[in-house]
Amino acid sequence: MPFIRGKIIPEVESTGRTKRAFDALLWLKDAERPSTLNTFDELEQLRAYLNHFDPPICAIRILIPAADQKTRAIMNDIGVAALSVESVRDLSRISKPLLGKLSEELRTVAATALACDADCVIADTREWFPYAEEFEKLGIFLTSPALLLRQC
Amino acid sequence: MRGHDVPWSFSYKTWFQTWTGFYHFSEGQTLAPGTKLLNLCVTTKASSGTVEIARSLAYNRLESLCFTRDRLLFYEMQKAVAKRRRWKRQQFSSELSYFLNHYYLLLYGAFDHIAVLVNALFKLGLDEK
Repeated sequence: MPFIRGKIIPEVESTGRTKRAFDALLWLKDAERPSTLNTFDELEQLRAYLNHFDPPICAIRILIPAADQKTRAIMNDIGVAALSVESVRDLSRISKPLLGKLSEELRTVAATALACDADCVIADTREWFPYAEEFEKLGIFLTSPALLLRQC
Repeated sequence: MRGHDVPWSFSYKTWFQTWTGFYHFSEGQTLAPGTKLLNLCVTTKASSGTVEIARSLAYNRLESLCFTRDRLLFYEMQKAVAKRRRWKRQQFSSELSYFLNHYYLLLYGAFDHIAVLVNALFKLGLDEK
């Protein structure tokens, strides 16, 4: 934003409200993979640093589907705090042309991500990554754990 | 969390980093050619003026480009949030145009910067202006 004589000029026209939290929805089949554990360990250090600021500046939230007890237990073991979210079957927020391109499981992933306002879905199923374009049309970034740190 | 003014490098963790320091830690690969060129200028005993041009290119210009690129990416993320939430009139066009203009100015300046450096390195004798 422009500064004049040390003061911010409050430009309100054509601007937007900034979301101050980055929400990552984990949809992992193999969270025990060493590289994945390492990524979340690195991420946790950044989260600890962000928690240090008072008043808070921004946050990173990790979301795990309630049914995925395995990933939740693994994250607990390495001390990564996560929020539980319910899987959503309501597909009304996804357009019909997009629905036709997504498998049953990917539809649930997309609907859940939309319902919890996730900025990105972290998945380790390689077959899903060609559908990143469809997710992008929904405003969701579909990526692997390896690329998560690049987003922060 | 680059868009929220919290520089954090996963490779070299330091609290309260400046942006210049941050990009040198986190974008080592991106900035390597610039640093290599600067080292080459020093080892081949180029004039102090030439070394200074290379230094400001490697240590100031490239970081500013990275910073502006990250701001643009940040607002792209914010646009995705507005899209998901179906917000109206939340296009971030003011912020995006501000940083995009800044990015182009920096990029064109980088070409000028390189031209001045080549002129000095090869002693072409061209007028800088």
